[in-house]
Amino acid sequence: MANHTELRVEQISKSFPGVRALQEVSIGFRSGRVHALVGENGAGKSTLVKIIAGVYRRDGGSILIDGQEVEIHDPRMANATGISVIHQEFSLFPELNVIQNLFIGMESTHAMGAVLDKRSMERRAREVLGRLGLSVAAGRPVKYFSVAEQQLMEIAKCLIRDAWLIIMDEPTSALSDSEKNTLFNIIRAMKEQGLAILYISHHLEEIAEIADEVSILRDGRLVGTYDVGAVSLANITNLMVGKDIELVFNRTRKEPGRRVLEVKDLAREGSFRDISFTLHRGEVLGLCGLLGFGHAEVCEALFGLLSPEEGTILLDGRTAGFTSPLEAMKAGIMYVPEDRKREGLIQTMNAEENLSLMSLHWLSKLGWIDLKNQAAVARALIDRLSIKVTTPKQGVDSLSGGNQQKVVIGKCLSRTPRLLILNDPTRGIDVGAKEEIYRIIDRLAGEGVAIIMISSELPEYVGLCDRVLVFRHGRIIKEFAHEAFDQNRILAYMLGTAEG
Amino acid sequence: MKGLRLVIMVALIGLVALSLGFARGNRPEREGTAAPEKPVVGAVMVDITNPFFVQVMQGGNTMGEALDVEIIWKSSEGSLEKQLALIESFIEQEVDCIWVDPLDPEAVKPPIRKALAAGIPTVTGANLVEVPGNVSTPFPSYDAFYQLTGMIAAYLGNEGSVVYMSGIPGNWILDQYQAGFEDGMKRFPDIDILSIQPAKMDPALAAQIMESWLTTYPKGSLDAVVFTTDPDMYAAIEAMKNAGRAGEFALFSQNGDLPAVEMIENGENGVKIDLLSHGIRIGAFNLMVAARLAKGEKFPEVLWFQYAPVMTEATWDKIVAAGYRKDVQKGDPFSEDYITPERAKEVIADAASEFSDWQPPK
Amino acid sequence: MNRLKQTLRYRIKLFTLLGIVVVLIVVFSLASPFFLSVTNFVNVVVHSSILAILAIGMTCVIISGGLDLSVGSIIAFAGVVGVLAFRQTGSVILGLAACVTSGGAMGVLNGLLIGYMGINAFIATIATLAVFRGATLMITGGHTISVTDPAFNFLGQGQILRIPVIIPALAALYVLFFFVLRRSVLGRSLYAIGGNARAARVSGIRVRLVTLGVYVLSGTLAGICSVYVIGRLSSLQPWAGLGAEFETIVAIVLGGINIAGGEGDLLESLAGVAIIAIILNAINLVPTIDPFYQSVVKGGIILAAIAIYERFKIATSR
Repeated sequence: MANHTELRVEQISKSFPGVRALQEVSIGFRSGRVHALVGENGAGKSTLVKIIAGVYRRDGGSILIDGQEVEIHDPRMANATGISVIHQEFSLFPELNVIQNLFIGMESTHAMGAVLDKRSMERRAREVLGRLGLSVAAGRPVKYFSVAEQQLMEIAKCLIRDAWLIIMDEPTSALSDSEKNTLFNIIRAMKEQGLAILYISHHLEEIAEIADEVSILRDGRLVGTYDVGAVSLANITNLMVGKDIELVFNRTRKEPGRRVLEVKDLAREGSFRDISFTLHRGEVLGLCGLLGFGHAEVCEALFGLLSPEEGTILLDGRTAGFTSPLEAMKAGIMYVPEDRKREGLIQTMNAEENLSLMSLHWLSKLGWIDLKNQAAVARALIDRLSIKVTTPKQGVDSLSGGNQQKVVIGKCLSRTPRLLILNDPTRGIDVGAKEEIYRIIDRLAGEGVAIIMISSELPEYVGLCDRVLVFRHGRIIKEFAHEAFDQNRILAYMLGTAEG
Repeated sequence: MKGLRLVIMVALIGLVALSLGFARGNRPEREGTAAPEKPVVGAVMVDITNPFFVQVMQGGNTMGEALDVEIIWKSSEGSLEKQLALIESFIEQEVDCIWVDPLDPEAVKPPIRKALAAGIPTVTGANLVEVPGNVSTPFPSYDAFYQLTGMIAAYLGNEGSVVYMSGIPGNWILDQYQAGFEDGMKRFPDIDILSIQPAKMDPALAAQIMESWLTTYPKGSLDAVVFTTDPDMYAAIEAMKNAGRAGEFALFSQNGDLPAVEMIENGENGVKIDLLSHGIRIGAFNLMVAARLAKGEKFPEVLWFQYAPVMTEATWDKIVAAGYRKDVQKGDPFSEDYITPERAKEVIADAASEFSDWQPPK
Repeated sequence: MNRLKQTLRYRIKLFTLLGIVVVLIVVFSLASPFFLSVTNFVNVVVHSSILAILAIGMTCVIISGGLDLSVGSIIAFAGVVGVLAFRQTGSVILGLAACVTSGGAMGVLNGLLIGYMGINAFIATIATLAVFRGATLMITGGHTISVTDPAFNFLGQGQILRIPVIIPALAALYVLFFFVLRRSVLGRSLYAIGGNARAARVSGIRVRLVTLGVYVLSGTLAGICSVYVIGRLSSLQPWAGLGAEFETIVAIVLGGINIAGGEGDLLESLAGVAIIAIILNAINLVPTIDPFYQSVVKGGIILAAIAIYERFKIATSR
């Protein structure tokens, strides 16, 4: 392993046409330390990381390793210098097996490259994987392993390349709690061996747990680098955003209005059964459960993306069984999908076009779209949701995650819905944008919109919902009213460890 | 700037490609219609990669030199739309005569009319295209094979079995050969046509057809094989040789290729009669008509191109003795009753001389 | 990428294509004195009309993320249906209507296979390419069928004010579909489906129905093409339209349409068609290009045009 002590970036600047991504940022990453990097989306974290990893060329400033200036022209050079990156979406090849993935690009060979030296690769692979506590069939294609195991393989890849600085981008976004603990133990072990870890995450509690120091970026500048023990989470958030944010959102509670939705004995083979609940105007209902427990499918059924086989849905007292999203939309139901990239946005279109996508039927006459009307509607949504765009014609693929999510939500608000279904509306968004979205939900509920939501963070249920339905294996096993909310109890029911 | 350099380089490549075409062109540039120059014939061929058309161009070029005209050759690449477009382009270029080998006699009528209206005389080779003012040089293909059947029947003594390898169904000329053959054979009830298969001008297919015929018809059950064109016959002869049965049948064909003519002369493989058309003669004949039209001469609207049956004197004597007589249906297909292989070779070598003083029959 | 930059990039792209067209016109005017004339430009348009009409349908299909490789065969078979209808009934109107609607009907088949059965567009339309062509050959026996009725052949041969009818017809089609793509719900749906079909569905667009519709559109335009082809050739050719689909795709990709779908507009397609049309016309016109080298020259110029365009794309994507 390369024996370095510090990688330091000095006065790094980088600009793209129209935007200054980094301005004179100076940070030092030392071996044996976990250095966290936080900031809102667009603050410059990924740009900085890409410069260190050789993907981008810096415009100004310098990179020093152990006090010596180095030039990192491309990822190969970065690798050679001991820098490795583990991206949020892994760079493993699903069809290749573990060993092939670990050694990709640096296979050991005999006969001057003509023949692969499988045995020595296998040996080294087992050794490294063993150190990480992973004993797996190294000959199986990577796609058969769990996300957590794949992540350990990514780490193994770095170790095999004698990495000294390992950059981890949102490593815990797909891990369970126990898997997270395993990861943290490994990180601590690597620290002991003298590796430096650059840790990027939105989850501030994790940073408190695993990091030694934290650097905060805002709008391309370094706000400061602090010892983790010396700064509170609230402080960090403030510094990231530049203003005070409530970490836990508390909704303004009002009396719910008349009944809007009644679901009776809804069932679909293999997904859910015996689903019955009601929903009132201005009420926020949370559906929670682990992946695959049927709550997301119920939402899709309400929107007409799936057909339930049994049961009835009554909207304002009238039977409504929607066989297509268009029908659901005409009845006033809107759905914000879980994965904005895959299901929420048309990346080749601009903000205005995306915002008007769900109201084309109403913005057009005889099949011709009224472009002025479309622009007005988009403008109104941009203002109402504070979407940060340079112009409504900006391509959505260049917006930050939070603003993209606002576009998806805005699309559903182009006509005031009777029922709004939100599937994980704050996934992958930084703290500041999250808070804005909570406010939006709050306001909508106040205006009388009935809301169903699914979230991947328990505090959101507690902070936003009036009631929570816990799903397990396709059935509703418990209903909580907000007075009885308790994160731990909800979690217990989700995991099936609750009593009663 | 790197990008700009690349752009310039690429543009240069394009221009070089263009000039390559220029440099290898068959004549120096025309500079518009300034001084009186050689008359220009625009020739629209069906295809210029097919060996037949290579011969046509050869004949045309020889005749063009003899008559001192310039020829611009263009290929329709087998496409009717392209052919029409080429004719229209020639009208644009104000050539002195347009010679086209139509893929479809109806479809070419509109552009031919346009050319004639613009004062450009036209020649439609090998087809009858009835537009006032246009000169057609059709093959009397119907009659050619009609007469051929008389020769075949006489050779076989008015009885026996024959098979016929036809051309591309849908191609007018080739269909006419077949029609002439079938109608002609009706005169001889004791001659059985055992099979007619289309070889589609594809020698590989011709060989396959011959092989299945050899299997189907054992020795003694088949007397003669008739081909639409010489390349089909060569492929079939190879099949016969492989089966050890070359020379078993009497072979009759059309085109008058040099190898076929020599087989007749040497009595090889059973080739008895070949109708001499030959690409070189066709090219020379049509170009002669086009060149003289370009110079202002007038011709009747239908000029039948004429074949000459190639056979040895001995064969001729035999069929005459067996009762062969010419029985013209639509137009006399032959320039002479027959010619010997030696004479055929002379004609092929010097097609320009055969036609340079040619006058249309009265 | 910033949409402002994208708009600028788009303008530069069109400008570059326009520049290539101008350069070609200049070069060819120097090479042949007959190039720069009204009658020759009429020829340019007339000789590339089939390409131009098919380009409209193909552009719409490709924008929606699909591909229609059967249009050449549709031209042939729609012609068969139309000519037979005309001969049986003696009515020109019925014959023409049969041409166009049978093209649409074949499009329905494509649309059902691709939109409702989920078959990959490339595979489905290669299959229908073979089926339609086979049906054509079967019914015609490989023979051409002559059509001489001037009313039937009007689109292909007729003139209005001494301009071939096809020219104003083409102009009208282009203007119409330019606006359909830009401003109609159908057009917007095509872009959405091509950009992200799943997201389009979740946003309420009836993906299957619109997909069916775009193939019907493509087939109908091919049917219109077949009317034109029959008129121009005064006959139904069994091999009509052979290879037309590939020429069309080359032309519109040259003009800048992204074959992955989701973006592009008719101006780009038109630019590509124009470049190809000019090159083909010039090759016919310039007398000194030895016919044996025609293919080389044609390929070389297209290659140069594509290289310039690709170089431009790389340069502006940083």
